[in-house]
This record gives sequence, C-alpha cells and structure tokens, in this order.
Amino acid sequence: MTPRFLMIGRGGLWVAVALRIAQALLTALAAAIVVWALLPLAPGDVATRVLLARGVLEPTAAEIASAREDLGLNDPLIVQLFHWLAGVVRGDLGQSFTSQAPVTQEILERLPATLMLLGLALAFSIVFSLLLALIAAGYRDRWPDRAIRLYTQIGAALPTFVFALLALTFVVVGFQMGRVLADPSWSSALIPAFIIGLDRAASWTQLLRAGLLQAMASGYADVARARGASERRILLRHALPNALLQFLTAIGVSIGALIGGAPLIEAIFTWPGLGAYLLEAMSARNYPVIQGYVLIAALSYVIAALLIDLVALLLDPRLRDQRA
Amino acid sequence: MSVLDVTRPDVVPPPVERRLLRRLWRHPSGRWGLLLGAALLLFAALGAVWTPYAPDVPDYANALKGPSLAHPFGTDATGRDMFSRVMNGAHRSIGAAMLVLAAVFAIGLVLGTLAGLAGGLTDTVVMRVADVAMALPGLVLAFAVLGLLGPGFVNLLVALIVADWAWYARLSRSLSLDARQRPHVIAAQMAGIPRWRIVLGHILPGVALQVGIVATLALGSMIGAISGFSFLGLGVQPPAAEWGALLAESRLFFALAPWLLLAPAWMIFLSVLAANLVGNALRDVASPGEA
Amino acid sequence: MDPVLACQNLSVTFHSGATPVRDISFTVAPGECLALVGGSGAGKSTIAKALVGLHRNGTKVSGSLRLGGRQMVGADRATWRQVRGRQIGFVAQNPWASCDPLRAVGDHVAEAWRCHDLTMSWRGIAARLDKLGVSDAGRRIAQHPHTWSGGMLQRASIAAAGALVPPLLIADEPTSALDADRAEAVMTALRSLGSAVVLISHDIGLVLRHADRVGVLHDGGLVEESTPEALQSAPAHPATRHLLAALAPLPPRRAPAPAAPVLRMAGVSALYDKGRLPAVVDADLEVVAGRIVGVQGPSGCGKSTLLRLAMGIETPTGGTVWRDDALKRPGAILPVFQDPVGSLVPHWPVWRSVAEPLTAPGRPRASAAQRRERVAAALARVGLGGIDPEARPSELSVGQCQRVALARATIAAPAMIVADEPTSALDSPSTWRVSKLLRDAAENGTAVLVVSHDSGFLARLADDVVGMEAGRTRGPIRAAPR
Repeated sequence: MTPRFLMIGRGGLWVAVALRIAQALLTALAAAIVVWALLPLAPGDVATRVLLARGVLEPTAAEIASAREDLGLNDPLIVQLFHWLAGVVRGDLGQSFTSQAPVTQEILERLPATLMLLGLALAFSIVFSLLLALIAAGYRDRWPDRAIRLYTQIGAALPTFVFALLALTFVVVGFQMGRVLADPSWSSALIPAFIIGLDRAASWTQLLRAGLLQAMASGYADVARARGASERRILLRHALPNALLQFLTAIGVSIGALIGGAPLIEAIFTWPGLGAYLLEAMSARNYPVIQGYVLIAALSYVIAALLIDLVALLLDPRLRDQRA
Repeated sequence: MSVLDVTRPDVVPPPVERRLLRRLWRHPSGRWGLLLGAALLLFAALGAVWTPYAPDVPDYANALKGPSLAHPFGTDATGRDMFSRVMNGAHRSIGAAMLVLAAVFAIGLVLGTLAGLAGGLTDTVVMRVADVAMALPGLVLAFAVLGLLGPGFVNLLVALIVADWAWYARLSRSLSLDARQRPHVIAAQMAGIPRWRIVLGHILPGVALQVGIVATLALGSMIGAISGFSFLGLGVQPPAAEWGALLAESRLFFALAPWLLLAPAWMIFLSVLAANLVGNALRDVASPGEA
Repeated sequence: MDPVLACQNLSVTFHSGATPVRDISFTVAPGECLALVGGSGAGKSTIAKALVGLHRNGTKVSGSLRLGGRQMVGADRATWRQVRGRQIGFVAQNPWASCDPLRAVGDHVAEAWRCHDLTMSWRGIAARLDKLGVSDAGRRIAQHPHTWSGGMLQRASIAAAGALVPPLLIADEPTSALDADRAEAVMTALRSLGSAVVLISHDIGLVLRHADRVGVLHDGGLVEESTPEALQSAPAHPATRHLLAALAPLPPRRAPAPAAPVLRMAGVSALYDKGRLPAVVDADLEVVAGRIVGVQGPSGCGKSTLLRLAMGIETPTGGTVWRDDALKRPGAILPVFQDPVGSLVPHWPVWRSVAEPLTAPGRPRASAAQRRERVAAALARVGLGGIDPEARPSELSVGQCQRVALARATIAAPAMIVADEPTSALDSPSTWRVSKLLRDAAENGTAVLVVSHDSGFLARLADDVVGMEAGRTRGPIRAAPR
C-alpha cells in the first residue's frame, strides 16, 4: 500500500529543473519551426510579394529571379529553415515588407507598451482573484460569497473585449475618467489594466475558490480541525498553499489566452503596442512582421509557463520526487 | 441457515435518474442554462431564415434612430434595423462556435483514441504533430493561420480548428490510454470480445463523454473568440451581420448612438452565460460516483 | 470514576432529512477502549464526525454528548476548538490523506501544538514518535508524507492525536488502509498512549482482539453492547451474528475429485526493462480443475504479474507456461479484480456487463431474451436477484459490484477463474460472500487461482497456498490432501 515514489535525494530538484528547461527549449524550437513555415506556406510567390511591397508594381521575370536569389528562396527548404533559425538566434527576424525596417527593431519599439499593459493586467487579476477567492471561501454561502459568485458568473460570461468595450464606452469615456488615447505609460496603463484584470479575475476567482473549498473539505483539513485549528488557520496555512499550486497551472494556461488576446485589447484601448502592429501587418499581408509577432508571443508564453512550472516544482515536494 | 446465505436477495437500490438530459434538467443552474440555450438556438435558427426587416438593406431616412416599438434596438448609421441584424447574426456567432467545437471534438477524439489505442508509429506521428501545434498559445496560432490565409469567415473557422484540435487529441489520447487499462476492458479481452467491439462499447463512450464535457465548457470562450476576431475585421466580412462585427460597427457611432453597442453585447453575454451554465452543470452531473 | 464521554440519545440528521444515526447512547470510562463496529451503511463515519464536531452547517446533531462533563451538542465553534486536541484526539482512516502533502511529517505532528499556540521542539516530536515505534524518527520527520509507509505515517498521526494527552481518542477505521500485520502494530501503538479510545471499525476480528467493550451498529442504531467474549459466545442481535459469521469458517470443503492440471508454469520469469512491472523470477505454479490455488505475498512481490502471465496477457521472458486445451479457447479464463466498481463498464447497465462473455464470437447465439434470463439466473446465484438489472455500477455498493463481477466470471462456465486481491476493497461480510462464491465455482469443477496479501483469507479459502516474495515462488506452503 506504500506509494511507490522514488526518492532521488538532493540532486532531484536540479534534475527536474534541467528537464523542464530542456522541455521549454524544445517547445520554443517547435514554435520557431511553425512560425518559419508561415512563409513557404503563404499563398502566392514570396519574391513577387516582396517586390510588390517594395513598390515594384509590375516586376519583370528577371527582377523576380534576382529577388529569389537575394532572399535565398532557391535553397532547399531545410537550408532556408536553418538560415532563418540562425537569424532568430542572432535576433534577426528579417525586414518588414512595407517599411523595409528590421522587424526586430520595430518589435522592440512596441514591446514595452504591451508588456506594461499585460503585466499590469496580470498583476491586477492575480490580486483580485486571490482576495476575492479567499473572502468567498472564508464566508462560504454567506452574503460575501454570494456576491462574489454573482460577479464571477457575470464576469466569466463577458468576453474580456466586450467588457472592456462597455467599460470604456460607458464608464471611462462617459464619466470623463482619464484620457483614452494615451501615450504608453504606467499611469495611462492603469485604467485599461484594471478593466482587463477585473474581467480576467472572474474565472480565476471561480477556479481558486473551488480549489480552496476542495482543500477545506479534504482529509487533512478535517484532521487539522480535529486538532483544534481555527478555520482561518486551515484556510491560510493548509488550503491556500495547496489550492495555489493548482491555480498556478491554470494561470499558466490563461497567460497564453492573455497574450493571444492582446491585439483585441489593444484595438479597444487604442494602445500602441505589438497587437496594433500585428493588425496593421495582417491587413497588408506583411509576413515577416506576422512571423515576428507570433514568435515573440510564443516565446513569452514558453517563458511564462516555464517560470510557473519551476515555482510549482519548488513548492510541491511530490513533483520533485516523481521525476526520478 | 447462515445469516450470510448468498442466495438471499439484496436490498434494491433506490432508482436513480440515468438519462443525462434529465439529470441536467434537475441541476439547479443546468435547467436555466438549457432554457436560455434553447431560446437562443431558436432565435438563431429563426434569424437565419427570417427577420422583421432585411438585415443588410440600408434605409438612410431612418439612420441612427433610438430604440422604439418599430426598431426595439434602434437603427444603425445606414438605417438598418439593429434587431434584425442581431437576429440574423445569431446563427453566425453561435453556429460558428458550435461548428468549430464539433470539428475539434471529432478530430481530437478520432486522432487521440487512434494514437492511444494503436500506439507505435501512429501514436508518435500524431502526438509529435500535436506537440508542435501546442507550442503556440491557441489564439496566437489562430492569428498566425489567419495571417497566412487572410481574413474571412471560413478562414477564421479553419484557423480556430487548427489552433484547438491538438488539445482535444491529447486529452482523448490520455483518456483512452487510461481506459485501456481498466479492469472491465481486460475482462472483455479475456472473454474473447473482438477488439473493435471493446473500442466502440467500452472505451469510446467514456472518452467521448469526458471530451464532450470539456468541449461544452469551452463553448463560451469560443463564442467570445469568434466575436473577437470578427470585431477586429478578421472574421465575418461586412455587410454580413455577426455580433462581434456589429460591436465594431456600432463602436464608430457610440457618441451619437451608444445603445447600438448594448444589443450585441447582451447577446454575447447571454449566449456565453448559457454555455457556461450548461457546461458546469454537465460537469457536475456526469462526474462518476455522484449518481 | 466519571466517564470521559457520555452519549445520550445522540442523533444526526442531514440537510436532506436523512438520519444516518439515531438515538445512540453509550459511555466510555477513562482508559478503556470501546469499539463501535458495523457493516457499510451502519452510520460509523457519521458518528465519528459527530464525536469530534466535524459535521458541516446544515447537519443537525441532537441528544446529549458530554465530553469530560461538558455538553457539546449545540456547542459553538470556539468551545469545540478548546476541546479538540486537549480533551479529544482524532485519528483518521487514511494516513496520507490526513497529512497536508506540502508539509513535512514533523509539521503535521507539530500542528497539534501550534494550533493551540503552544510550541514543541523537533526533538520532542521525534521522541514521541520513537516511543510509538518509528525508527530513525529524528531524521525522518523532515521528510514529506508521501515518502512514508502507511503504518509509520499512521503512528505519526497517533502521536499528533495524543500530543496534548487528551483523555479520549476517536479512531475512525485507523487500520483499514494498512496490511493486516501492520494493522496490529498500529492498534498496539494506539492503545499504548493510555487514553480512552473509541475505535470505529468494520473489522470485527480486529475489534474483538483489541477492544474492552464492543457496540454493534446497525442501520444507524446501536443494537447491542457487550464485552468481546460475551458478544462472541452469545450474540443477541441478527446484525451481530451477521458480522460474526464473516469470521466463521466456510462450509466444509467437499474433497475435490482428483483431476489433471489445466495450467502448469515451470521456471517462469518475466524480467522487463524500465521496471515496468514487478518482476517474476523462476516461478513454479500448478492449477488443477476443481481446486483453489492461492498465491500469497506482500504488495510489490510480483504476484499480480504472475497472474497476468497465467492469464496470457503478459508473455514470459523465460520458462514454460503449459495450458490445457480447455484453456486455449477465448473466454476460458475469466478474471476478477481488486477494484470491483472499475471491473464493470461504468456506462452500461449491470446486466450488459454480466452478459458480455455470452456474446463473444464462437459461442452459441442466444437471443436477447435468453441472455437476460441467464443474467437473471446468474445474478440470483450471487444473491443479487433483487437488484434492478438496469442499475449502473455507481448505484451499487462495492461488495455488490464484486458479486456482479463474479456473476460475469461464472456465467459462461469458464475453465479457470483468476482473482487478483478480490476482497481487499470489501468489508468482512462481503468478503465472506465472495469467498463462498469462489468456493462454489471450484466445487463445480472450475480451476481457481487467487492472489492476495492476506494470509488469513487465503488460509480459509484455498486448497493450496503458494508463497511469493521478491518475484520467487515458495512451493506449496500448505496443501490440502488430494
């Protein structure tokens, strides 16, 4: 009846960390290959498209042929892939079809604004959901819990962009709270991030509340109760750490949704970040920019998921021992 | 005679409702979700074939009218009746979400169980392709595919299917691997039941139910995603009506006619709510051991 | 002396209106062990929770419950908190589930002091564990619960329950997650603290060995209370007789007719890489029609792998497995498993699971009506004639599911039945019934192979018992005359 976990001693944690990092690198590589594949898969001839974007309206066959040569399109695909990957490692994502500027440079100009907005929104959602879930679990089935449950039901049923649109139109603009069209700064990011956080926190609160209640009803909570522990002590010392572990994993998945939703959010708040840059590129079929965006988004996701898993690994002794 | 006489009949267990739909109906919030969902589906089906006014014929004389008896949601900038447009857009918003989920459910279930049960090369190939698809967050992959194919309603559906199928395949695979080891499957093997009957009778129904619950729970966010992409102009193209696209159109005139935003927003809210209510209730009533 | 615990007409009513415990009265004197014993559904765990005040709002406890002179029915949370730990200690069923998985075992024990704002040194905790028989406690309390064995972890829980030396301990099935030999040691540790104990258990054998007085629970009421000796010699209530019957030997075995072996394993080994399965090394086994062969060994000794080799779903890496022709047709070997609910198809009505072996290709075609008739007969044979054949497995008790599984295993008249720990999930009356049914199958000429960790169970059931340790069989430990 003994659980058959293998103890792997002190080295276990580092082995597990190394394995997880290796897995993240593999995922990043897979993402990079998908991103690269966008160009060869794109409809139409790449060289013609590049020439058109450069303003050569009716490229001759000779012009196209020399462009093909310049762009390395005559190489076998696998060679093109390696060239591209080598470029990525050097930080070279190619040139924008429309502006002719290096994509990396254009992305780096816009990245801080997006990171600012998303980071602040993430912080708001985590703080809101932690507070609300703790209150709801502590006052289970009483009015604070009921009120919070109503909020989570409504929030979970309103897609973030719809909520943001309504809040912006009817509250922020309606009551003249702050300027909408703003330069990206921490203070101008505050209201949009608050709105996003308020909506995102709804489903996270649901999740964390359920996890807390589950932990409060578990065997170890009952045993702690039978030893004379107060409900507050059980909630904060036993239920919270256990529920947080589960919650962390869920946040990892949600971060992907947050990153993927950035273009929509930025369109609503007219936020001059990466999302707006992507939308411009999509309407112009500016593939290097699309590729650059997707790569950056994928890498941020890989890094966020890696960090979350490493934290979970540090916190949960069972994960450490299982990896043997 | 021993008190433990094995031929003495046992106590008859109390009858339990076995039909899922009826258990859903008895669930406190499941009932409201079913009612709301049925009403919305009816509204969408009707809106696909009939609306009080033509949904995309301009009537410049009646532009940007406030809500009235003739136009309960008002009229838009070209005088089109907002109620008719919301009604006509319903089948695109809700139908598309259901279509995408049905597709990823079917693809994921087939590929996932195939990989799990066949093992070997099939498993390796399917799962490595799925790994690559899952290296990107779903919405980002959808943007990438849309960037490749260009905007459009059909392209949007394709993009969302490409972005989502791998999750369902991986889930189906792990569920079917788990089911394959269950005692009842081994018992059937030993009894000489052919493999195809074990797969269809023992393994698939359980896997399909679990994956179906996950798909139902995802319906709400799928409705949100489709209207979101259409809001950005990447999905349904004008003049066709769709709730997200209607929000984008209405947004241009919010200073003059703020009510135009409310109708599509409400519809999105109500349909996501219905999907969430049904999904959560389904998860509650279908969990084994809680009969 | 005043009793440490006095219950008078204690009842528990759930929010749904159900009353799983009705009008129970008993007292516990200082230092004595009162056992409350009963089958599943008798209200055992509901009483355990009521005695420690663990029921949620919405569950009503009425009557009188006096702990050291203090009335606890209707007591508020603060009062309960003062009493718990100091007046009353609690030991739960599953030692792993009782520990916060993120904290060390030492923290789990120290919690008993900390939640009363007291402190206890790590060394003091280690000393307490040492006294209860945990070796190397000083080092091991820094480890996490999942690395401990059940017996050791349960001792840590006992140390925590007795931390503040309460005059009374409530132990809710403290040994049911443990192997039989470890259970005895844990019971001894529990009694060694000197506190009075209310032992709640389904295991009448354990209770008779360890309790000073025994109360029998049946259908929510306390139907009989007596000393173990009196209870055993003169049981008054049918429920008591029912429980005691589980200890009774099976009806005398008709001497099995001499028959040829159907399965012979000689020098069989199964050594898989990556440690996928516990290995089997050079094992010998012979199974004869009409006889019951038991394989007994601790968990992880390879006995389940041996069973899978016998079933033919694993192939040996060495040695020979000879099967009689009768075993070669599909459906000739039918299994019974440790997990009764999981052995039935969850989404099928039970009749379909039972009928399934009849529908295998190559069997004579039977109409749906004929199949249903044979299912009804098979269910009646295992004493389940009264259940709705349309019921799903989740609607039946675990013991009922195992009997349904036996109905399936016997319906197609297999040449051999193989059973892997068939009773380890069952209470004693169900164990008795399942043993009887396996015996019946053997009397009808079926070869039966049973593996179990429980030597007592195999001693009662099997004709021959083969021991197994670390993958090797030890020739018949005990063989009935042929």
